[in-house]
Amino acid sequence: MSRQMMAKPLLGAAALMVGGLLIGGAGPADTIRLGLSLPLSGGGAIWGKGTAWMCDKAAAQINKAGGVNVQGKVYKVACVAYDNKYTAAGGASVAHTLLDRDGIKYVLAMGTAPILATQSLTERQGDLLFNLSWGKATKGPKFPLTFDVFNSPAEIGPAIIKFIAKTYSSAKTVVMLNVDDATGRETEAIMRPMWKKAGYRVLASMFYERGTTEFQPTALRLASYKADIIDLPTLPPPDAGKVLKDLQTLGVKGVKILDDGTSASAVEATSGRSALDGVYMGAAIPIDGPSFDARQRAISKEAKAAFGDPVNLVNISGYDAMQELVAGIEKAQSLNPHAIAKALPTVHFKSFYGDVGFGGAAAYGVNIQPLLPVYVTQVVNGKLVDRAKVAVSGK
Amino acid sequence: MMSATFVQLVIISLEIGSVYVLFSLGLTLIFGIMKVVNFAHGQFFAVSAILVTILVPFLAAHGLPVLPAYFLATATTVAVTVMIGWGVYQFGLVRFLRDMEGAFILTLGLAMLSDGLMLSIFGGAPRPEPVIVPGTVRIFAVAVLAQHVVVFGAAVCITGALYWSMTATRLGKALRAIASDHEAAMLQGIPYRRLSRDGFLIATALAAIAGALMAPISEVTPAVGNDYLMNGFMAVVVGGLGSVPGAILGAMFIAVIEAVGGYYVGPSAATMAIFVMVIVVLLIRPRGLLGRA
Repeated sequence: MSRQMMAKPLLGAAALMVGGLLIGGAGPADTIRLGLSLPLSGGGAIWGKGTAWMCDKAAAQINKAGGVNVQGKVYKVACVAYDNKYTAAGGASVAHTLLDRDGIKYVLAMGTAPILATQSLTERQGDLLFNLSWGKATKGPKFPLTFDVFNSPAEIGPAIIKFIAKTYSSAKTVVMLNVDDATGRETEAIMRPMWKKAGYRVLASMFYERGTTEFQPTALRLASYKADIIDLPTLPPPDAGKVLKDLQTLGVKGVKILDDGTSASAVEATSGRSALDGVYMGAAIPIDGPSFDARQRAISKEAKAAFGDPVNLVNISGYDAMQELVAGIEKAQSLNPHAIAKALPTVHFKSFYGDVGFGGAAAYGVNIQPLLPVYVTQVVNGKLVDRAKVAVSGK
Repeated sequence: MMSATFVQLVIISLEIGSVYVLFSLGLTLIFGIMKVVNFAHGQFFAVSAILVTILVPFLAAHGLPVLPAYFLATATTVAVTVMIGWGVYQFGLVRFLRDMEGAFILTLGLAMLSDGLMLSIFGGAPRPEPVIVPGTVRIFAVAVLAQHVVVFGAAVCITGALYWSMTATRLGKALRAIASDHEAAMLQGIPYRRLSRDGFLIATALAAIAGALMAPISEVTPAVGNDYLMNGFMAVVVGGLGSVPGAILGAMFIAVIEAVGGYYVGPSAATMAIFVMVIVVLLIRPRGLLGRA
């Protein structure tokens, strides 16, 4: 290879590195940056983009209110987002970029696989991790620098099952369908025992690969069990929409639950209105209901206009993670992640839902869970109807 | 008497197969003529599907009945997608004809770039699907979405038309000559570059038509093309890269495994079974079922 031929790729690589350093997460010294490891492409992009937007929203509010005061010095806050592609490899790459290249000490990561990759670094390097995953394996006393930011099946499951048991007393059997990855496997391991403990017979628990385009055989198999309840705990909105549409074509009645259903519109886009009618959701926010005020509705409206989805359990985590971090820093009066981690279980922070403290020792062994309410909603004529609001126990 | 489940699985296999056929035809055409794999094929599909979901409600809101609105939207999106395809060919792929590595990097890069662009422009939320042919029809007492029947009919017509044009028209014969031996074809006076461009644009149009047909029944997000690409590509590989009948056979092969396996052993195992069967086929026939040595 000639020197000239070698020079081009080398120059390109150098330009990329310099460019990366310039446009990356580097920020002014008086800015506290929360790194975001989110799916910003692919099927989960709707959640990732929403979470990034909500984080920016919280940062703007905090900065407008005067920033964060730590021992007399005032800091601004900012969010720095990268695409983890919802994969372990993407998560590892983003973690190195945020922690090692950008020097960020606080990270919010979404997805069990990316979190597993991120957590191995944050816990070892002494950085703070806000955990936006559906499972339990990455939470607990073994991970002292990891904190939860939203309700996951450990909180949503009991609330939904209790509501279903009360509303449909004759229902006795369940079939489950989950995505076949770390999120789906972990969630199934949480939800299945919950159903059994509540007295239901789980007739089948199936998994499918992400990226599946055709769900008719799956729907046919689900229908063949003739179960009273079809539980879909980890399906992204487009997949859930297709399954519901195919179930409707097959004439399947019965109770259908999207535990991770974050909004009616996202599922309805694929399912159509009639197939979604009557479906229960565990992660949607009944923003038009009595639990929320005009300020929260205004943010939701702004969010919908900005990225196409109203506020929901997932994207609110961007807002809440920033507020958790700021509350922890102010309480600790330190930027040290260990000091913040020590302070966090005792703080109350300004969550999107209101003033919130920490608990969760019963589920996770430590108080790392913000005590957010669980909303059980049902889709009626394309609209989310508030069916139950359950306060999560502080124990 | 056939059991209802058997009939259902046959119908599902045909439905799924027709979708994969639509997607695979363009892929195999490009490989046959240019000897490259277009990893951005799914993005042409996605652009078309997204534009249909935007244009149909827009035209309907301006007083056009849904069906004419859909046809007009489809014609427009196919034209727009072909123009994008022309740009991709003229400013990129023309430099990588019969260069598998170069085209691999170029088309993969283009796919990532267009994913990002579509995400920025259209957002990541699933777009509401236009209802073009509502309701269900009963085939042997089995309920099938009417739109699926339309897609199946369209797939049969498009495949038939492509097959006829490849065997009976001057353009088709010239494209087959290039696919068979491009140097010999050039010696006979066939303009290789121009016909490569025409073949690429036909393949792009096929992807766009597939996107427009799938928009009413599939999820419509910027990522949808990537999901179809995997199975479409496997169909082409199993059938034999560059072979139109092979693409059809490969698509049906994958569809049958997906439908029957999905029902009897579960969706995740069926996906694994597809990969295993593809490996088995390639071990026995490395160039695919209908691929030529």
